[in-house]
Amino acid sequence: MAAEPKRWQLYLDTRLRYLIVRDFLHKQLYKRLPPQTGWAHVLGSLALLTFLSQFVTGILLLLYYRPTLKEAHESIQYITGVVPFGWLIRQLHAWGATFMMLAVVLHMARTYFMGSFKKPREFTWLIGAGLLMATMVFGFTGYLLPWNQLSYWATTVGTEVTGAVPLVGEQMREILLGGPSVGQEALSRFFLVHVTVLPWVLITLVTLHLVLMRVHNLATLEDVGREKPYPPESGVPFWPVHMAKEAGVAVVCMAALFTLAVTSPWEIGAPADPLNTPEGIKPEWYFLPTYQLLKYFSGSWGKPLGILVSGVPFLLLFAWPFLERGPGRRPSRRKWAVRIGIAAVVLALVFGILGYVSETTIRLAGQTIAIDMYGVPHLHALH
Amino acid sequence: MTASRISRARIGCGVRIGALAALLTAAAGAPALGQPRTVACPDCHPTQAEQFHGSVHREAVHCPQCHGGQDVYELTAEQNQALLLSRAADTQPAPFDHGAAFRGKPARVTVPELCGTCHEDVEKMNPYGLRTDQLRAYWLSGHGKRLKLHGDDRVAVCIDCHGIHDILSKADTRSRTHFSNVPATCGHCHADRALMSAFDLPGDIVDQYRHSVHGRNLLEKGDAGSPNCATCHGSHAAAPPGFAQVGHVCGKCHQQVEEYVLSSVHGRIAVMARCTGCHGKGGNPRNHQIEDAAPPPETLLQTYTQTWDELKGNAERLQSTFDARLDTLTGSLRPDSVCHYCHGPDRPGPHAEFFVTSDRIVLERGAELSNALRNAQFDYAETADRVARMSHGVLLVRDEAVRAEDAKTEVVALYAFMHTFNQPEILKRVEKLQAICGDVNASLDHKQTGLTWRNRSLIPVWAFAALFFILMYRKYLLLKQAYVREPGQPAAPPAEAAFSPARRRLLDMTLRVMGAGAMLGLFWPAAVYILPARKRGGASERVSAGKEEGWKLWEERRLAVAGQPAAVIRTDRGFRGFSLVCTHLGCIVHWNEATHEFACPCHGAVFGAAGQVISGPPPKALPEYTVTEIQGEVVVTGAQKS
Repeated sequence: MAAEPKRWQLYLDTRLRYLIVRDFLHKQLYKRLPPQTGWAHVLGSLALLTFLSQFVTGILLLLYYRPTLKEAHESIQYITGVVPFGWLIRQLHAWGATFMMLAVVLHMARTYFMGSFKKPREFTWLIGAGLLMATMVFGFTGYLLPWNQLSYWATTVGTEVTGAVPLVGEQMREILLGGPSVGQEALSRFFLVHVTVLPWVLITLVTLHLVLMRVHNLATLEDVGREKPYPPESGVPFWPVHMAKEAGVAVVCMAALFTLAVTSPWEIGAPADPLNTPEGIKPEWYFLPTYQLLKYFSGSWGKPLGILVSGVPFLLLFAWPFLERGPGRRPSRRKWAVRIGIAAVVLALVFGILGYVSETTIRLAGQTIAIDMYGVPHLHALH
Repeated sequence: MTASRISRARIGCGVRIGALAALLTAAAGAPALGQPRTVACPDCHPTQAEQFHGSVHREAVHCPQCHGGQDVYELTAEQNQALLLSRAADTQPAPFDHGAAFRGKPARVTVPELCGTCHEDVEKMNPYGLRTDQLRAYWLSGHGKRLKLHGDDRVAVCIDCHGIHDILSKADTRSRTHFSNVPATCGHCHADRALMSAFDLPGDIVDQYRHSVHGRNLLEKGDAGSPNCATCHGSHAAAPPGFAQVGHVCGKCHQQVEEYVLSSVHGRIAVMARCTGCHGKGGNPRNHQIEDAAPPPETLLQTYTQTWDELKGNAERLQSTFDARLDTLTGSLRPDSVCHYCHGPDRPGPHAEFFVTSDRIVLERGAELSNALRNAQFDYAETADRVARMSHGVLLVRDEAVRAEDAKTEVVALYAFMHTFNQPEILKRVEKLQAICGDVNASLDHKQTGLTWRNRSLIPVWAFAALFFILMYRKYLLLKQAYVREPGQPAAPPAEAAFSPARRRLLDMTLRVMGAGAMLGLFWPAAVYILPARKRGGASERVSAGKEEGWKLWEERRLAVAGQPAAVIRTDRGFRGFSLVCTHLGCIVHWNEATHEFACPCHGAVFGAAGQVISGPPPKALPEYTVTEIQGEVVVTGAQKS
């Protein structure tokens, strides 16, 4: 319990009735987490932290960004080159997207392998999967906004996929882009979704996620239904004990973000030119596995099939808590689930790496190796 | 029914009625063997008639005007039978008597006068806006003189260049006289070595032309502005210019260069000012393979970028490789490589000995000027390349890009100025160019050093993060000790055992200070970012040209609009903004406050205070920007006025 209220607090409480809220928050803040809570449990808060960072830097970018064909790229130049610390805000936002995605994925992997999604936390997992989707859409819509060659063409290629859906694909794509190709309408739509719709979706989902997390507390590794209650004094209070750990991690994470912003900044790039496709257009890393997988399907039947196949992992993601219903949480008690999980990670890595190296040329031991779009290397004779 | 259709029906009536008659007889199903019949020219001369129908003359001319005879002939029954039989057997019809007035195929020597009967007639040519001095011009041409004096009909007459029945307007791309077909038309005779040797003329000049800078631009790039044979030699009055006139012929387009050459040491003697002596195969008085001496700035930049990429910025070999590459480019000559055509041991004539000493000095000076030019080219290319490389990176180099355009202008202007052969002035120009490049580089350096503090800041940031993490971990252990107990265990021994209260206070204090510092470190950039910017320009396409106050009439203020140099002038009709990029070759024009004109230093173009072209080669006026006054501030909007 919080300390006894002071006189001025009573004065305010008589008029504002705020002490009840304060006590509630106090209770939440000091709530004891299970004794097993370890370093892996900071990932969720890290995802929240990166989201907050995106939120703040995003609002700052809105001060100078203008979502029109004429001014979008100009304003990015202005932010990056003229506004004091504009470069930092932009880089933090651009790299923050990667960090946010990474934190969400790692948090999800931890939840999966530790079986934390099991009863009674199935819906927490569902909301989490929704958050992953929202993060991906955030990344996709935000990528177009700088309106440079890379963003323009990545979006053009990315939305082509939608067109392959049978029957309604073309219409879907046109609704998405607001026209037959990426233009002002698409920019407006992507901007709108990125800065108005998605933040609310994310805030709602995050709130629900946090409330459920508080209601059920963190999961331990004990089997479903056999969780032993722990004496309150052996639990780890969220504040200040767990938070101390998280504060340390957060600072290191921010330093890493800053390092990337400085050492490998996102370029301003050449303004979007619809008449000139640059070489080597690739989507962001978190879309690479899907991007590569889709390449292996072609033709009027192949493309819809490809969309179906690449949709399977996401469907599994949502359905998983209802598919794996055994009581075991310990990885040693869920051999098949762990195997599937590892296979999924390996597959994602393999397709991601194939996508990353496809359509590039590398020089290895004096040989020029050209890798085609399917990721198959071809040895080239030296010229 | 328009007037033209009526006239077409009337003028071509002979042809039409004949065709109609033939059609009717055919339609009637009666071959009409052995019956009298009316025929028109096309009935017997279908090929010529078809060509004629596609020609410019189809409306205004009909066959008898050139060939004599009649439009329509009445055939006797025998003649008709003979004609139909020969046609059925596909054999040559028997000779036909066209009557006394029939001239047949005009002799070549008579062609010019024959065409002249109409083309010299002002009344007839007026409706078509055609000149009537062509015949007179022709008689003055090399072709005409030979025809008149010697009756030599091997020379070109009208039909050789314009065609016979299939004469087309020169605006028609199929026409022999269309600008892109002129070299082939002239080449019809002038590339015929056997024919040309009869006149003691070279047979390779058309081939030379095809390989020249003009020929490549015309034939490969389809550049209508590039000269064809007629541009220099004239069309109807075609004749080779004399040596003394070559400079003037080239000066028709290269005005600025001609001016420079005439003011130069070479300009004092007209014969020496001929451009063809240096630009192309040296020493050949009939040189038609005219070449650029220096590649355009775009090529310089491209060559440099390529070299840089290959050498990975290896600074030592960069300039020598770049120079060597330039030497191998078509249309790139070291200026001193042509001096020896005249100055040197090969000099012909009785005064050769006399010139030995001066020749040596000239060659030395030529080498010096060549080196200066090469240095200027290298400096420009290096700067432009650096700007291009940085322009899409993380720095905004818009001002530098505008300055690089200035440097480009200086390069093009220098190319022209080289023709003054005025060494001190040329070196001054080179220095000016190098000064611009130096400015740009210094500014880029400054911006790049601005980047290094970002990298340097990584050290304190990581030192801070590491220290904070270590201390926070310490604090975490202490907190855990204080708050968490193993189930059933008594409270942990007081922390003081491991950590004295003083040290604990120090730890807390340090963490608090660091936390405050971290907050400050996060909020400070955000606060500075939010503060109103001092200089606008990028995000908005609106650029301020400054306060209206104190702006004198006809005063110019320069600024960059959308990355391009522009200027606002206070004219007597208010403020006007123009792009300063010359519409000819992209040089930067300068405002002359005294004459109220923009002058381009590259090719001497002059634009008026309304941006309109006053003189020189530019194809169109300077693009104008919208200028508005907002509370005493003169603001240029990036969108160009249409």
